[in-house]
Amino acid sequence: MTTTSSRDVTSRYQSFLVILSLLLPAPVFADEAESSARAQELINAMSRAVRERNYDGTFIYLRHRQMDSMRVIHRADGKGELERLVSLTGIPREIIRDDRTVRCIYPDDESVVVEKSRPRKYVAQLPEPIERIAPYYEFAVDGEDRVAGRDAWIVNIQPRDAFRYGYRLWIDKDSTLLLKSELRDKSGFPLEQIMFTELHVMDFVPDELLEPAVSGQNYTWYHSASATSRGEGPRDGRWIVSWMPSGFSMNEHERQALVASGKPVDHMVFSDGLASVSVFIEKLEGDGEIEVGLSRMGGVNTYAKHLGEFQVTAVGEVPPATVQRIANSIADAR
Amino acid sequence: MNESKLEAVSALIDGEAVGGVDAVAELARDAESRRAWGRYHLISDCLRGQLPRHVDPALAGRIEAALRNEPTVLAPEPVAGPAWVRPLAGMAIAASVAAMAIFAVRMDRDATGTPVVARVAAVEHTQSAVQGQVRLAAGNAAGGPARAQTAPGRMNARLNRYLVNYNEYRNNAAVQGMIPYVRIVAHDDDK
Repeated sequence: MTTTSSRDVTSRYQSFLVILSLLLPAPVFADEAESSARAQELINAMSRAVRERNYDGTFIYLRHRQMDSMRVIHRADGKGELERLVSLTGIPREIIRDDRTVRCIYPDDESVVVEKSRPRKYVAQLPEPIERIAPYYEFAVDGEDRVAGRDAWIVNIQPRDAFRYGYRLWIDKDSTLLLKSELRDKSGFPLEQIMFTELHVMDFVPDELLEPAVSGQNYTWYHSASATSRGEGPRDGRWIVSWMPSGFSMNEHERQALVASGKPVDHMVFSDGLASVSVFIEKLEGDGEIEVGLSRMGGVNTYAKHLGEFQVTAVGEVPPATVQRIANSIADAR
Repeated sequence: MNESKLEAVSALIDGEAVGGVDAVAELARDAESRRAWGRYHLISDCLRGQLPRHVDPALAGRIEAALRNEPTVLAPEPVAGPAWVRPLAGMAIAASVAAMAIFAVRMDRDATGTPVVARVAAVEHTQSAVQGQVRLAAGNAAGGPARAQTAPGRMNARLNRYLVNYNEYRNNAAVQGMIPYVRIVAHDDDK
């Protein structure tokens, strides 16, 4: 009968396909693995280059229809790293960073803020081993392009779920410096971009390029002193975060005491190895006028809410739904 | 911005007139007055508990700017999303201009940490305590209009501090490099 024989044919055809697929190599898989490995190599090379090379570049920073241009000058030599970032748009704010301090100069406010720079990881490139990140992101080399007059590889870091953002990086073939980067949501929409319009790689960076444009002499200086602070004592474990995207775990939990008000702020940092979210929990001071809800600045989303007499704020380079859900999952153990 | 103009604008909101100043003409002519107008309405809305869910002090300016400027070719079309996802524009600049607050920090590391969360990753670096002055900007400390002690301003100051701290602790230095500092240095049109 027709039905039986067509079923026979189909099943025989399927068996044939199964056998065939077992015998033949699977080219797509091999390419993906190779592409992923190559992408990771490029990212590692890029992070090294960004720290180890001398360069002077001008770039555009674009977010939500706002554009700025800035200049970055970076020197790395026997004495360590020195970097200057200055805005070319509007008021010439600057940040000068070396291995010990970060100095932020604000001409509009006539102030200079100096604080200690956090140690950068010189050895590890990607902040965590790839094995930790790989379950949640796909790495791939996605073609070539030309940026700032230079040839570049395009590397994609694609999140596997909708709770994270991805990245698309254009890496200079010659120096492996970063030429362009996009922070993207899962559908590929770019939320924040930087793109170099010119980049000079140098053997040597003259001192003048790293001097700030304003001396800040008559400005107000805010220093971070080295004395230890009076803390609030060890944190209690009273806060429970019951939801995070898979792969996130807590990296740090600190209790910060604000000198002026003496009020402590709990700061927890969570990460999946690539993206990170900070949760701040602060006692409301009775001013009562706290704005709850979502906000965004460039690639960073924040969500604030009340929890009893506390304000809980989640801040992260993750989609709004993620910070919201994290903040809502926080409970008071007491 | 002189006092009598401010006073006149404030009075106008209450439906009164101050002698010697034509407040309406001032509003038409002077951008400072218009900004004051916006601020005073915000304050009185706040006092009356009539603030919308999300306050954007620069909304009027942004609408005006948006109407004036064509979207730049480089700007991607935003995906239609929930209306409440708004950029809190003041933050971008307040983060820098409000003078990144420096905290007195006592770093206690707790390996056991909070329970329900999955494993705690080892913290790879030590950090010595930092103490500093705190400058809490009560309002948007952007050089320009007077600092209003309004609720949104206070909220911005808090968010700004968080942003700065977040920037310091995020760990993907490899991929984003200097982006955290770029956000702080970036200019904000909407003041």
